[in-house]
Amino acid sequence: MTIPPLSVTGEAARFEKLRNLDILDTAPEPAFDGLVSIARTVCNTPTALISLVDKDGQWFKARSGFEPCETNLDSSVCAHALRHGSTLIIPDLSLDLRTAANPLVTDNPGIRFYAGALLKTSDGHAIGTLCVIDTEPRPKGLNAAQVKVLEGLADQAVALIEMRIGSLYREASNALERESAERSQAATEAGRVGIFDIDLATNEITPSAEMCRIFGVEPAPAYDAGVFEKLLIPDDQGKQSNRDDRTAGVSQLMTEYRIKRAHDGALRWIARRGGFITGADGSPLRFTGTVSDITERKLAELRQQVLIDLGEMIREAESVSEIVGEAARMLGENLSVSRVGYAAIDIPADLFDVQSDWCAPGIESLVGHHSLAAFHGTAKFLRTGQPLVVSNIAAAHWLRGDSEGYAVIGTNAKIKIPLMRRAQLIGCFFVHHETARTWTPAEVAFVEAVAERVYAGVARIRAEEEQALLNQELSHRLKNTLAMVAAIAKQTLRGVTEKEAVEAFHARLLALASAHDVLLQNSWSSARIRTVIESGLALHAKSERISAIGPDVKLGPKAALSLSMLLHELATNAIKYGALSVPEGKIEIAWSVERETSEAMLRLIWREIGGPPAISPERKGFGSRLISSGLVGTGKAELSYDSTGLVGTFLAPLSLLTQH
Amino acid sequence: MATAQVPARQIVLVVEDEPILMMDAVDLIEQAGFEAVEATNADEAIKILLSRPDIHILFTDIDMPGSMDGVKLAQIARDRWPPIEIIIVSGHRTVHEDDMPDRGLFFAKPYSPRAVKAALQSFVA
Repeated sequence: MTIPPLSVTGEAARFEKLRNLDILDTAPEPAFDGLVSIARTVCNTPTALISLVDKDGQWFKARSGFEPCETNLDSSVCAHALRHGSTLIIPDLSLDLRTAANPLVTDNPGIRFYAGALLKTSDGHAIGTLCVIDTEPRPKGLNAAQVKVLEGLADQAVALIEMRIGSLYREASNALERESAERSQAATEAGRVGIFDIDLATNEITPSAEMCRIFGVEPAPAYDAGVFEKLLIPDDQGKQSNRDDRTAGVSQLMTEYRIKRAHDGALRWIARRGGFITGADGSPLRFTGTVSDITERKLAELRQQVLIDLGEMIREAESVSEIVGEAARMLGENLSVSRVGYAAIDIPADLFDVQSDWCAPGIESLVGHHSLAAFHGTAKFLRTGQPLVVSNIAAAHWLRGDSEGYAVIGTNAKIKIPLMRRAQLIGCFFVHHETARTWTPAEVAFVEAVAERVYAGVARIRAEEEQALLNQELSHRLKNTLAMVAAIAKQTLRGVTEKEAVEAFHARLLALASAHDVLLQNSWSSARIRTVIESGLALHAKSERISAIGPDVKLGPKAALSLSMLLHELATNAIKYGALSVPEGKIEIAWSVERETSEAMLRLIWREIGGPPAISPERKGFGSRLISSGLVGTGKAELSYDSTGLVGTFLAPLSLLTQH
Repeated sequence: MATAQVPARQIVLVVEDEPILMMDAVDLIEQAGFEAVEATNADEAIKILLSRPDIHILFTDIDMPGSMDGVKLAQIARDRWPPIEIIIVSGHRTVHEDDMPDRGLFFAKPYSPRAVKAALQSFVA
C-alpha cells in the first residue's frame, strides 16, 4: 500500500522541527518507558509505543511489547493518525480501508486494534503518537477515561521531549541544581532586612544575624561599628554614618552605598534607614535602624539605563560597526565580562567572522575570520534559534566537543543570542567570560534585550544602505538615459535650422535631471523647497541675482519635479526677455503657507526687478503653457506683466505638494 | 617645404563606450574648435596616449567596460602625462574629491553643452 503525503503544507517544517528536537535515534530513557507502560496498563493492551514519524519511516522512542525499534512508513498506522489530526481509534485494522493491507496487519504480528494520541509540540507540529496496539480487534475501542489518559500521556511525552532540548541549554542537571540553589539564595538576599543598634557611648553595634549575613561577617552579639563602616568601597566612603556625626546626632537617616562583602568580596548595594533614640535631655543615646541588600534592584535600574542609552545610540548610529561596537562596550562594562561582540556565521563555508568586539583589559580580541570546526556543538545548538547559556564549560557535557576551542580563546562562561534569517542561523551576539560564572535570569534577559535592539538597528542600517545603493544606481541609469535622449535629439535635429528650439529642448532635459538629483538626496521621497529652487536656478543665474525667502517646506517627488520645470521656464524667459537679460536685473522668489478656506495653501511669488518692462507673449509656446498650468498642474497661476517686470503668483494646496 | 603655418587645432581624446553619446561629444568638441580622437574604453585610451604625444585634453566617461574606469584612467593620465587637461563626465551625482585628479573638471550627465564648451576653451585661453 502506498502512503499519500501526510499533508500538503508544513511537512518540511514538521521534519525540521523533529530533527531540531534531537530525539531521533537516541537511547531509551526511563521517563519515556514509564509513559508507555502506564498506557499499556490503563488501556489493557499488550503493546504501547511512543512513535515519531519522520520523512522515511517511524521510529520508536519507547516501546513496550513490540520488538522492532523502527518500521518503514508502509507499516505505519501512526502516519494515518497524523493525517487524521486528532486521536485515532481503529477497532479492527483488517476491516479499515487505510490499514487492511498493512504488512503488520496481514502478516506477523497480525495487529488488529489501534488507538493513538497525537504528540503535538508547543508550536503546533504533530511529530508522532503515543499509541496502544492489540492483536485482537476491539469493537468497543477505548472508553472515555482511557482516551483521556492516553491523550494526557501523549502531552507528557511531548513535555519530556521539549524539556530534554531545553535542558541542553540549561546544562547538565547537576549544574542546574547548583545554579538554582544560588539563584534562590540571591532572591532571599533581596528580600531580607537586617537590624542594628549602635550604642553611641561605646560605638558598639549590635547587628542581627541577617545584617551579619548581608555584610558577610560572622554573626556575633556585638562588633565595633567600624567593622561595618570600613566595608564601604572607597568611592562611597562618607555615605555611611560615623562616630562623630552620630554623637552629634546629625547623621543621614536614609542612605545607600556599596560595600565589598566581607566573606566573598562581592560588590553589593545596601540601603540603610536609621533613627536616633534620645535620652530625657534630648541628647542622642543610640542610633538604630535597618539595612537591606538592594543590589538586584540597583542592577536592574542600571540595565534599564543602558537599554535607554542603547536605544538612543542606535537611533543616531550611521553604521553597523558603530552599533555593534557601542552595544558591546555598554554590555561588557555593565556585566563586567571578558568579551562581547557579534559574529557573522556562515554555515555552508564552516566559518564565522567576528566583525566587532569589546574586550576587557588584557583580553584578546577575536576580530577576524575563524573556522567554525572547533565550535560545531555551539553552532548546532544556535541553529535551533534558542539563546545558549553556559555557566561552566566543564559541566556542560553536551558542549564537550567545543571545550578545546573555547580554551583557545580563553572563554569559559558564555551567553550567545542567535540571529536567524529565514530559519537559517546567520550570526550571533556573544558574551564571553574567562572563568565560570553563574548568569542570573536577569542577566540573560538583559543580554537578549540588548541583542534584540542591536539586530533591529543593524537591519535598519542594512536596509538603508541597500536602498541608497539602489537609488544611486537608478539615478545613474536615469541620468544616462536623459543624456542619451539629449544626444539623440541633437543628432536627429542636426539639419534643423531652428537651433533655438533644439537648445530649449536640451535645457529642459537638464532641468529635469537636476530635479532628480535633488530628490535623490532624500531617496526620492522628498526634497526641501529651498534646495529645489536653488539647484534649479543655479543652471541659469549666479546666486547673488536670486533671492529666495520662505519656510523650508518639504515637497513630495511630483511637486519637486513640477516646481523645477516651472522655475526653468520662468528663468529661461527671464534670460531672454526679463530681469536676467540685463546685468543689474534680479529675481525675488517669496513663498508662504496660507490658510484659504479650510485648506492650507502654498503661495509662491516670482518677481522680476531691475529689468525691462514685461510684455505679454504673443505666441503660447510650451514654456508659457507650462507656466500657466501652475504648480503640480493646479492651473492657479496669475501672471502680471508689470512695467517693473513680470510678477507670477502660483497657488497650490500644501497637501498636494507634500504628497508622495 | 613651404606649408603655411596654420595653428594646429588642439586635440581632445574622447573616451566613451556609448556610440550615441560619443557622436554627440565629438560634435560638441569639434564645434568648440578642437579635433577629437575616439576611444571606447580606458585601455584603448592608454594606447592612444602612449602613441600620440599631441593629445592636449582627456574627456572621459566613468563607467566603461575594460580593466579600469574613467576615474582610474584620469589618475593615470595625470601621473604619466602631467600637462594633459582632464574633464570627467558621468551620470553619477559626484565623484569623490579624493578621486579627482588635480585640475580635473567634473560634469554630471546630461551636461550642458555650453558649460562644457566653455571649459574646453578655458584650457587654451
